Amino acid sequence: MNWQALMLSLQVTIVATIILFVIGLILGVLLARFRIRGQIIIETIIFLPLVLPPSVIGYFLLLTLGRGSPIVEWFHVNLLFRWPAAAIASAVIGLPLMVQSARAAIANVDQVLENAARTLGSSELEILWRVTLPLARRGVIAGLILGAARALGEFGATLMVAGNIPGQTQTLPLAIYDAVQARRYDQAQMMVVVMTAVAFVGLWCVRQLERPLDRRKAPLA
Amino acid sequence: MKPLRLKLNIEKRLATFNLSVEIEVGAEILVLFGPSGAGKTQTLNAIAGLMTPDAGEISLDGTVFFRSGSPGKPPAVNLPARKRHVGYVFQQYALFPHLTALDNVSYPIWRQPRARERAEALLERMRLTELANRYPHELSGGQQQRVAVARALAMQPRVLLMDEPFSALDTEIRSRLHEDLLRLQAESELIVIYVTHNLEDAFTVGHRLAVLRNGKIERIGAPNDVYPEMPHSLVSQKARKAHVS
Repeated sequence: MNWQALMLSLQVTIVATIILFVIGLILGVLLARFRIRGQIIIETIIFLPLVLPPSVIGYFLLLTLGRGSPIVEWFHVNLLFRWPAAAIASAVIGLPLMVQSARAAIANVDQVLENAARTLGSSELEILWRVTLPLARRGVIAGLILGAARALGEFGATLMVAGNIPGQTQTLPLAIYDAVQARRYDQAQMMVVVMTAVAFVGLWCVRQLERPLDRRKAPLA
Repeated sequence: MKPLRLKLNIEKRLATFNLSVEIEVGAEILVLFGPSGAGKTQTLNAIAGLMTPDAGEISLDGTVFFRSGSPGKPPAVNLPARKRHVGYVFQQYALFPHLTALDNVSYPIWRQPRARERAEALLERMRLTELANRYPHELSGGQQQRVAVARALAMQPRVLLMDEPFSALDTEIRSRLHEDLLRLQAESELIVIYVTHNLEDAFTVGHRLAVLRNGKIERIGAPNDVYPEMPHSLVSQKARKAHVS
């Protein structure tokens, strides 16, 4: 078992999940509650990672994070071939799943409840925090689990922007690839079992969250 | 407290008709009566700040809620709903399903001192003390209705809007809630606008009656003047007594 790769995978996934939560929630609220100009184009761009080869996403990220890009020029940070690049790549790949689920859950919250909160003196931010999100929480959590599970399994884009440096950027999926290449099948098998188990538990949780609550008249979204 | 007056004079182009309402309401229960689709709910929404009229003015004594600008321009004044302090009881009550009755009632005052005690006092006033920790789906329609009223009253509004508040309830509960409402209104000198399409409701609870049809007020006055042919017995003794006093 490659513990180094496992710990690094956890680290990358946790950071990616935080990014997913913040950006996915903002996008979910915007898409569910506002009519924005060019909405279809924005949605299409967000959903591209779902269908594009990860290498293409990796290529775009190389352009965004690489030398000469505004991020490098303005902030003087070079993230390429370090673990934060892996976190960003994983977050981008997981984002469509989070946005899709969060948007649907937020759109499902009865707007009369939000109007009621308005007449009761709440600001828009307060309504989001005290009414909309608590009622949409199942969908938001389900999206977050899906996005995090996808981020944990990210391979292609990570390879392109963070490389495959053992102990520095080599996450579990990459370590599996290396182990198989080197015919270390025992080691690969262990990691495959871990990945499969985590993915299974994650998806099982999502199924549970999506199941309607029986014996409760008021569904908590 | 000095009795206030709510003045409303608005125009709004809607999909199927034009809403054009002019009314002035004091500390009384004004029933807005009319068939569905007459613009009753839209009128309440305009007062609460959930709908923006095309033209006109809405004010509560010195406070201007809404005043239109010059034609084609955005409104000169348009106070957001949260700053109007208008209590609104929605047709389906709109209780927060993830909060208990007590938390629903303390929702608008959660930042203020003694929010919990005040919410408990309101629940007691509505005879709901035993149900404080129940969730809305564990309450009957009439109980949900009373929680919704308590919640709207928690922020101590001077104006209470009620949209078909008792339409889903049976007659016995309704008449009891009508008595509650008359008592409440008298105690707090509230301006109450009560929307209904049920004429019996209109007669039992209303001090004044305004008939709204196709977006316009057709008639307004004491219930017996507006509908002289209504049987006298329908007008509750309590409603008339409250009006006289």
